[in-house]
Order: sequence, then C-alpha cells, then structure tokens
Amino acid sequence: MIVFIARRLLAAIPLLLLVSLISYGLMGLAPGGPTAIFQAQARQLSPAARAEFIHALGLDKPWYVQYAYWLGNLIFHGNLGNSFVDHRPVVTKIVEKMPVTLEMLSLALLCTIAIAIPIGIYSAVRRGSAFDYAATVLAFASYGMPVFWLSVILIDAFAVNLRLFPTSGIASVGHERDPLDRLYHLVLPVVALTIVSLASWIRYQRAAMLNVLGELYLRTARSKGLSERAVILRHALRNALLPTITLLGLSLPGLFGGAYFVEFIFSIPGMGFLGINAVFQRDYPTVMALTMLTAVLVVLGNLLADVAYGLADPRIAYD
Amino acid sequence: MRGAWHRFARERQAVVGLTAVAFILGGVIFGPFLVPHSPIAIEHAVLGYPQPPSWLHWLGTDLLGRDVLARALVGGRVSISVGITAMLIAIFFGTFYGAISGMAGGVIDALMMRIVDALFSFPTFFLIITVEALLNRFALGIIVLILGLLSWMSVARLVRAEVLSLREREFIEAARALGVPPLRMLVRHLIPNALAPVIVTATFSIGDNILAEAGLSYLGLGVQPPMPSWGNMLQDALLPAVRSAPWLVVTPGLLIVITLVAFALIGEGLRAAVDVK
Amino acid sequence: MVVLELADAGTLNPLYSSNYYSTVYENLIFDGLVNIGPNFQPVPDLATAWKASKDGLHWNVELRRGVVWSDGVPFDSNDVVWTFRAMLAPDTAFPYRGQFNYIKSVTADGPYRVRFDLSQTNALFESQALNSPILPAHVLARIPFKQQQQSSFGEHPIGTGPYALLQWRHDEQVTFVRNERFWSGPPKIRTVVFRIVLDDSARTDAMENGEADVDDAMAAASFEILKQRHTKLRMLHIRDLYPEFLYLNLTRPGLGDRTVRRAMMYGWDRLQIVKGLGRGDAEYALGITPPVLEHWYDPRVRNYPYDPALARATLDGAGYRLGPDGVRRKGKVRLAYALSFPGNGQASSALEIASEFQADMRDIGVAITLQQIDYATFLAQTQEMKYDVALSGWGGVPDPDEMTLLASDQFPPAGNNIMHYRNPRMDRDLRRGLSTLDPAKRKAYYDDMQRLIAEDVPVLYFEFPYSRAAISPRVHFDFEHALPDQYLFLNVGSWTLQS
Repeated sequence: MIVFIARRLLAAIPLLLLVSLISYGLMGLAPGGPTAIFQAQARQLSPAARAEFIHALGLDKPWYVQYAYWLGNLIFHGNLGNSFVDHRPVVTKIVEKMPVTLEMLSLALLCTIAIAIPIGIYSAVRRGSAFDYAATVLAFASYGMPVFWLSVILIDAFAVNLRLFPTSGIASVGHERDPLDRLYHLVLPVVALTIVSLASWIRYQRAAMLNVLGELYLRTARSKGLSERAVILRHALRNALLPTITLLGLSLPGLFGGAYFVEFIFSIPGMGFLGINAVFQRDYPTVMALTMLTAVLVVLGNLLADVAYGLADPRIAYD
Repeated sequence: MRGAWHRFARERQAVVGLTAVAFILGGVIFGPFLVPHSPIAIEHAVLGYPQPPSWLHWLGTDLLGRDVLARALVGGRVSISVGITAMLIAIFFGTFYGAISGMAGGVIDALMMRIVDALFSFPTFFLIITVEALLNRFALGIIVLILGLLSWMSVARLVRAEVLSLREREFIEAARALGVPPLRMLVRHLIPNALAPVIVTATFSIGDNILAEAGLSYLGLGVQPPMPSWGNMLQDALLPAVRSAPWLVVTPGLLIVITLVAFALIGEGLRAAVDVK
Repeated sequence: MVVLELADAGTLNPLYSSNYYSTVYENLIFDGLVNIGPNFQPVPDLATAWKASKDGLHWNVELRRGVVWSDGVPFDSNDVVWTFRAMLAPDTAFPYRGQFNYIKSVTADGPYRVRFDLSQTNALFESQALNSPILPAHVLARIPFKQQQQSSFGEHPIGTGPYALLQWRHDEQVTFVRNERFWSGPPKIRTVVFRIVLDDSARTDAMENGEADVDDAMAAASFEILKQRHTKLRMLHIRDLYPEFLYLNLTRPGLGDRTVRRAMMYGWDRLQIVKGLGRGDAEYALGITPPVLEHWYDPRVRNYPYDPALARATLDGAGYRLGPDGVRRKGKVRLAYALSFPGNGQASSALEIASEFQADMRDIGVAITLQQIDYATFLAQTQEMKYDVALSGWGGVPDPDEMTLLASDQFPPAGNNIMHYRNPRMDRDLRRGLSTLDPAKRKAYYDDMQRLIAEDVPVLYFEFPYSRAAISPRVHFDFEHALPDQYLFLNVGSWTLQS
C-alpha cells in the first residue's frame, strides 16, 4: 500500500508537468491577451506603449519560451509570478482568497455529511418505506437544481422578502473581523451549496449501507444477545467512513467549480471568483497557479479515493 | 434480460420516473405543434414588461414579449437533445477508451489513466471559453461536443474498473485460452458485460449535461438566442429586471428539476435492475 | 459613508491605472491642475489661472499656494513638472503617452508657475492634460522612470486630494479617510468606504436595508425597482456622455453599402428599445454626440424613424431580393451577419437589445446570429476586424471630438476606427476641430461632423444610457448638477451627511 501511494505520487510529477504545459499552450492559443483588457478601459493605447507593455510582461516571446520562464521561475525560485492585473504576487492573491472559500466549502461539507449520513443509513435500513421514497425523491430534486437558480431563490425568499439574512458579501461594514458576522453572511451560501451536494452523498451512503446490511444479515442471524439496532449502528458508522472518504476524494476538485456560481451571486471574494475573473482577464500567472492547485488537489483526491476504494473492495489488486 | 426488466418494473420509483420521462418527451416533441405562439416572435408593444400568465399566454411572456410556454417546450427539445447527444458521445468514447485501457494493462493502462487524470485537472470553464473562442462559432454541435468531452473521463474510469475485475473471470480466461483476438474479445465479451454500470451512469449523465448546459447558457456561453433552451431561459429570467416575475424564474428551473428527477429515478431503477446482489 | 461598486481598482498609481474604478478612487486622492465642474466646464483645482498664447502653442499656468501633500510636504511646481515628465518619458511606459505627444516640454517658472510648450494646438489640452492627477515629486522623483511600475506607490498613494487611503482589502472594500490638510478645508464626511458587491440585486438590497449610502453602478431594472418601492431613497438619473451603438464592419459585403445601413436604421425600432426595454433610462440618440453637451449637440440631422416597410422597400429598390430562406441577397452578397457582444458571465441588457435587434432584422430580411463572448475575446475580435456587427460604445469625454473613432488614420491598432470608415470630409472636420481653440470655429466643424454621421451611418447609434445612482436620504450634495460616472465623486470633498 505504501509502495502504491509512493508510486502514484511519483507518477504525479510528470502529470503535473503535462498539465502545466497544456494549460500554457491553450492560453497561448486563446484569442485576446492581457493588453486587450488594458486597452479597453483606456481611450487609446499607442502602438509604442502597447509594445512596451507586451515586452515588459514577456508576452512577445513564443508561448513555449514563456512557459520555460514560468517553469524555471517556479522550480528554481519557488515563485509563481505576479498577476497581470495589479502586479501583486499571485501567491498573495490566492492566500488572501483561500480562507473564505475553504471556510464556506468546509461548512457546506460538514452540513452535507451531517445530514446525508443519517438519512442515507436510515433509508437503507428502512428500504422501500415511505421515508426511503421521500428521501430519494428529495435527494434527486436537490441534485436537479441549478445552483445559481437555487441561490437566487434563496436570496429573494430569505434575504429580500423575509429579511432574515444579508443578501451578499461576507461582512457587514464595520464588522469585518467579527467571526459571528461572517457566519451570518455564510448561512445562505452554505445552504445553497449543501442542498445541491446532498443528493450524491445520500445515495452513496444508502448504497454503501445496503451493501453492509447484506452482509450483516448473515452475521446477525448468528449473533447472540446483540440487538439489531446496536449491530447496525456499530457497523454502519464504521462502514460509512470508507465511502465518505472515497466520495470526499472524488469531490474535492469539483468543489471549487461549484463554489464559483455561489461566490459570484453572493459576492463572496473567494478563489473560484478569482479564478474565473483571471480567465476573463487573461491573467496568465493567476490562471496557471490555480490550474496547478486544482491539479494537485485532483491527484490527492483521486489517490484518497482509490486507497479507500481499495480498502473496501479487496478484489482490486494493486500491482 | 427479462429478469432485469422485472427487477426494474418492481421498483415503483423507477416506473414513476419512466412515466414522467415519457410525459416530458411527449410534451417537448409534440407540444410545440399544439401551442399557437411562436417561441421567437417578439412583441414590440410590451418590450421590457413581462406579462403574467393569462388565457392568451398560459405561462405568460418574457422580457421581449415571447410566449413562455412555447419557449419552454421548444427549449425542452433543445436541452434534452443536447443532454442525450452529449451523453452518447461521452459513453461511446469513454467506453472504448476505458475498455482498451483496462484490457491492455501495464504501462499503457497507466499512461492512459494518467492522461485521464490530467484532463480531470483542467479548469473546465477555461477550456470552454478557449475552445469556443478559437472556433469563433456557437453552433449547437460545438456545445454538445464540449459537454461530451467533459464527461467521457468518468465513463472511461468506470469501464476500466469493470474490465479489470472482469479480466479475472473464468469465461475471459477461457476465451483467451481459445485464442480469441483481442478486438473481438473487447467488443463481444468485455464491453457487453461492462455495460451494466455504464447504462446507469449514462442515465445520470443526461441530467448532468442538462445542468451543465444550464450553467453555460446562464453565463452566455451556451445556446444562443433566439433558440430557447432551459438554460438560456434561466439567463433571461435571472436578469434583475425580471427576478420579480415568478413565472419566468420558476418555469425553466422547475422543468429542469423535474426532468432530472425523472431521469435519476430511472437511473436508480436500472441500478437496482442490473445489480444482482 | 458607504458606496457600492461593481469591481475593484487594479492599482491606485495614476501612471498605471488599469480601469475605471482606479480613476474613481484616484479622484479622491489626487488633484489635477484643473477639475471638471458643473456642465463639464473646467474649474480651478491645483491651478488658479491658466491661459494660452494666441497661437495656442504655449500655456501659462498659475499654481495655488499653501497646498500640502497628505504627508505634510508642501506642493509646488516641481511636482507638476515631474508628473508631466514622467508621463511623457518612454521609460515610464505610461499607457496614454500617445495622447499627449503634442506636449513638447514642461518647465517651472518659479515655485508657483508652470509653462507648457506644445508642438501643435490641441483643443483637448485643458480637459485632458490639465486634468491629469499631479503626483508627489518628493516621493517618486528618486525612482528612475524605468522602475516606476515596480514601486509600491500604487498600494500606498500620497496625494493632495480631499481623501487619503486608509485601508485596501482587495476585491472587498477600500476605505478612505479625510485629508485634514486638504487645501479647501477638510471634507465634512470623515470616512468613505467603497464596498465591492458584484451582484446587482445584492446592491439593491443593501441600499434598501440602509447598509449603504450610494450605489452608482445600478442596472436599469434595479433602478426602476428601487424607484417604485422607495420614497426615501433619492434616485438620480444623470445625463451621461456615453453613447451605445452597433459597430459595423464596413469591409464586410453588404455593410459597406450605405443603403443597407440606412435600411437597417429604418428597420430597427430603437425608440422602443429606449422606452420599453430600457424603461426610459436612456436618451434616444440621433447621433453619437451626447445631448448633455448642450453647447455642441446638433439635432438638425437626418432622422430614421422606425419604418420597416420603408426599410424593405429601400432594400428591394437597391436590388437585395428576399431569398427562399427569408434572407436578402444581391448577386453573391448575402445579408447575414453575426452580432458579437461581451457578456463576461453577467446577464445584461446587451442580451435583450441584441435579441430585439435580431428580431427586427429578421423582419426586413437580414439574418443576424448572436455571439455572446467574454470581454477579452470581444476586444481581440474587434481589434483584428474579425467581426461583423458588435454591440458596444465609445466615448465618455466631455468634448465632441471623435478623432479616434472616425478618422481614417485611426484604423486599429492605431485607434478605434474598427469600422474602417473613410471619409475625407470627416477627416478634415475632425482635424480642424481639434487644432483650433476658437469655440465658434469648432462648433461649425462638429456640426458638420454630426450631419455626416447621420448621412453615412458608420455605426448604428441608438441610445445614451443615463448614469444611475441611488442616494440614501442622509447624503447631501448638489444633485441638480451631478455629473455622471467617474465624475460623480469629483466634488466629494463638499458632500455632507445629515440624518
């Protein structure tokens, strides 16, 4: 197992290199460059000034040369470069935005798990019951909602009409450092994120639990003195762990994408929003840094999922 | 096969799902012929003022005076066909890729899977913008292709896992011992047996594609007007001007939810049907 | 006072400002020699008097005494001279250097007088050059021009303006505190906070809840919603300088034919867009010169009322016959075009306008396909002439000059004439209008320019959107003479808060 993990991590390095190369190449192909943005807001960028700007950013060299510079900068100096938009280090910008996104996503994940596991398990135990059907339909309904649609409805209902929560942002003026205020602002976004992620977690837990129950039935038939409920609870929670980890691993990379819509509608200055804006503004250094971050997360997430999957299903041999 | 159908029919929710999908498909295929309004004709007199539902327009009109019911039906045609076609592309490509990878094993398998990993890591949004900008066109085909290309990877993974476990089974050993050529083994034996979970995934992936189209269209990168799709109806509906018009906001969203629930119920039913445990 | 904005500034160094919001904030921190006052007339700022020589090639500017920078150092002519030298030096890479290349030299004549020598007369000198933010020489002069971009001045600016930067949380909010040493006396409002809120309805809600005092980034619809719902908020409709129009790529078959362009104008219900879709939040356009520039605006030009029958007849008469697919063609020329407009992920009125245009054109036999693309691609497309029709605008300067847009030597990348419009009479009007300071002569040239635009229709103009602002009841300033967009905050030093 250790060998397997080590080998996967080692194999990840050429993978990451490949990802960075392709990303950079794609960006070179995409029409429009940072100068274009610069020009838009200005009345006029003289050809000389434009040439100087391009040269200063190193954009006049072919993309593979630029890539070499970027890679060299990263490997030898540990430096991810400066953003084209405001010339600040990309790392600074990402580190600024990360806590909010992480906070929002972890809260959503916690809520999702807290709700999904009991429902999934109960659905499996009471399979075929009215509860099971209701849970199924509700799970699918929550999966079927476009997250931006749901967000808008939540805002209109709870923030505008009922005035229970703020409509946007992560802090009220004057309360920027107040953690309670922050939580207050995160309620609706977290609710939106939780609702749309519930479905897969509930279904997954239910399926995993059904598997366990299948085996448990044979065993409890021969057990002595232990009530069905105690056995189920003990085994259920233990067996809920592995699928949870698997799903966690698989959903890690997707989380950031889902966060984008929510960050956009709720005006939350997080990483998803930073990333998409960077793409629109052709802010190459920022896009590259975020791409690499996502790639690392994918590798780790898949590794996590595969390890958990392997532990759960001994039929899969790791060579 | 017949056993599978029986198992499927026994799951009540699956039957409900199937009925619902039949209803929806019937509605979007035949409905547009029955509605007297055009989904793209605008009404100058009411520009800027969406009309609530009335006897003339059963679901009201949108910001440009277009009939919402007509648009919802035609939009359904577009969204659902996009969903299904993209799914077919993903299934076709992903199945072959995963089966070949699983059967080949060793270094080739490792390489192919690493490529899949690499593709998973891409910021998909960025990919979409670049591809669409490169091609400079917004034909429906491009969108379908893009959606298909985004989802084939998980199919490949799934098929590969199935093939890996099938590889050790007796009948494959037997076939190999008999000297059956790899391609025939692939097509005749491996793929049909690996298809079971793929069919389940396919059903869910239709829903995923519809959602993805909605997201793309909401950002303006999907189906372009005047052709309606549920996604770009949402784009129109969530404009600040009309968020207070519930018939505009609720209609496409609710249709998407209902369609997805229906397909998902079928998917679950299929899963129960093929999962002999 | 809390102000809601759509996006953040990139940097606060005026030498490298990258966007509109930078300008807004810089107006709080810095002063120019001249400021823009009511009716867009120049008013004294750091300069108390300025006068041109008879030939317009030399300007003498008298500076205000007793001004200090926010760090206490006194202001004098060195600052002005250094600022302009920095702007003009190639090493600095000031992006708009090209706009000022008629300035030959800037010299100090004592600590409170500066002299500008120009290589040619330029009518925009007052409103553009003299309006530039003045930077502190005592802070920046020690840095060589080549390294100006690397300085941290953009994050820690020092100016002579009414406010100083207190705190900047990128993409979240920018906080300004009043400059106690401001030459006109410290502003009444002690702190101004700009909060960046992207979602339009989130801003609306914040205004309704009293969480914010000013929202000047409102979409037309939110404006109407707030106006209907609230009697307490002051809703300002400010006439603006920015025309919206459809650029036409005149090199495309069919679009180069003036008859086709005129037919498109007749066939497009622009008035209904302004009144219906826009809900009256824009002024109907008869050209691209803003009606708010009352002195320059000339409505006596050819008009195009909505008349689809006339449009069809015109096209028929010119030989463009309807094909079986509903699209007109004449020989090899087919009237089918793609309309690109930038979306950047935000649903906007552009989509509605584009859809309406598409429907109207379909009515007269011109096929339009829509292309929503992101902003960077849109710019690249238009700059490289890879478009047919594009929805955007151009303007924002309080002067009728349109050299960059309409002159035949301004094809991209030199300028913004992305239509490739070429008319020698227009070139002459533009050139002469810019190189004289005599208002009467200029008026004659620009009147002719407006007539030509209506005759040739190089762009399909339709509206001048109002600048919209919602103000909470406790904020007070001269509402009658409020200026649009970035000019709104130009006199923020004199605003007051009262419950």
